[in-house]
Amino acid sequence: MSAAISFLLSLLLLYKYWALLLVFFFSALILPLPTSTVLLATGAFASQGYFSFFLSLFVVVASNVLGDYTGYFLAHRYGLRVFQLLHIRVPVFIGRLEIFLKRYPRPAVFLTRFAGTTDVLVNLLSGFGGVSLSAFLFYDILGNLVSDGGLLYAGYFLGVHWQDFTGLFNITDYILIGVVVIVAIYVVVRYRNRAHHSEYEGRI
Amino acid sequence: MSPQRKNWYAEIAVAILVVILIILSVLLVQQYQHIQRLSYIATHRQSLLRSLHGSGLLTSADASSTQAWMTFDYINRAFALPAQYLQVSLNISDSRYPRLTIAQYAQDAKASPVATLISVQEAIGSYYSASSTPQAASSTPNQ
Repeated sequence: MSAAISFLLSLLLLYKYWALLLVFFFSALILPLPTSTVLLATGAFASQGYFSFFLSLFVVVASNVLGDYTGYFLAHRYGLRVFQLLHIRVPVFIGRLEIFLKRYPRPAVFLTRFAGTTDVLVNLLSGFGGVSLSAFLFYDILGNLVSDGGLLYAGYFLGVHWQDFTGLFNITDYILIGVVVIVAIYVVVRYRNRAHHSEYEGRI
Repeated sequence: MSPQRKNWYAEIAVAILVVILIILSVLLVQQYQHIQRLSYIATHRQSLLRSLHGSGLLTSADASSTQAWMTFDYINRAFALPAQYLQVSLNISDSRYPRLTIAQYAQDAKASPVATLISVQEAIGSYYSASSTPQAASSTPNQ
């Protein structure tokens, strides 16, 4: 087990729900933290009576949603201003991903809750691209409840054996991130080709 | 850059990602096979299935799962040890006990974390072997 994960797990045992709150808030906001391992461990600790399962679930989902909303809010409120202040043109691929998110906000927000750090990007793009707050929050809460609840229960179910399964869950996480990146590339290429096609037809 | 060239770069990126995904999938299968080979699954499938539903308190058989990042408070609770048992057994004078990890304690005591961890595991084993009825011994667990 890496030193960073050992440090996080020590924090978890020392500060319990406060540690959960901070870890999940900052991981939802920006930091790529190994939340799958923390969730499995918390579930296992809950099975031994050291944590309350439902209180842990509540804290994890609430702090995740709070972190996600903070990212959404910051991008919505200050995203464009930051680009303007830095004299940077909004990259074209961001525009294409925004169009996709506006068209399919529900599956995009819900499914990326399962794919590690990709949810951070979707939060920022949703805020930047003007995805409605109600749709964002609803699918964010639902996605976090299912994904975090699932992993927490997996830890609870595995009990003392949870450490043997961290590799399995981490690799699954990387695969899901890879799938999301492939979908993002596909979206960018597809929308570009469509734009070129319309431009070509317009000229004719 | 021409659109054809951009498409070509995107195709290359997707191809690389697909290769990475295939490698990760192979690793996933290997992990699954590794887990299936673990002795506790192969030999104790039934008892594992029973224990998997919220494993409850740990016993001396689980002492080897103790890690240096664990706190004494957690170990006391998980193994149903009396609150002062490890403090007395390991002669811990640190005022932060039991809200102290094994690694922190070893560092402050200038001891090897591995040796300290082994001492903790042995102390847990001794506690259970000293009592023929672990449940009775845990009648005053740390709360």
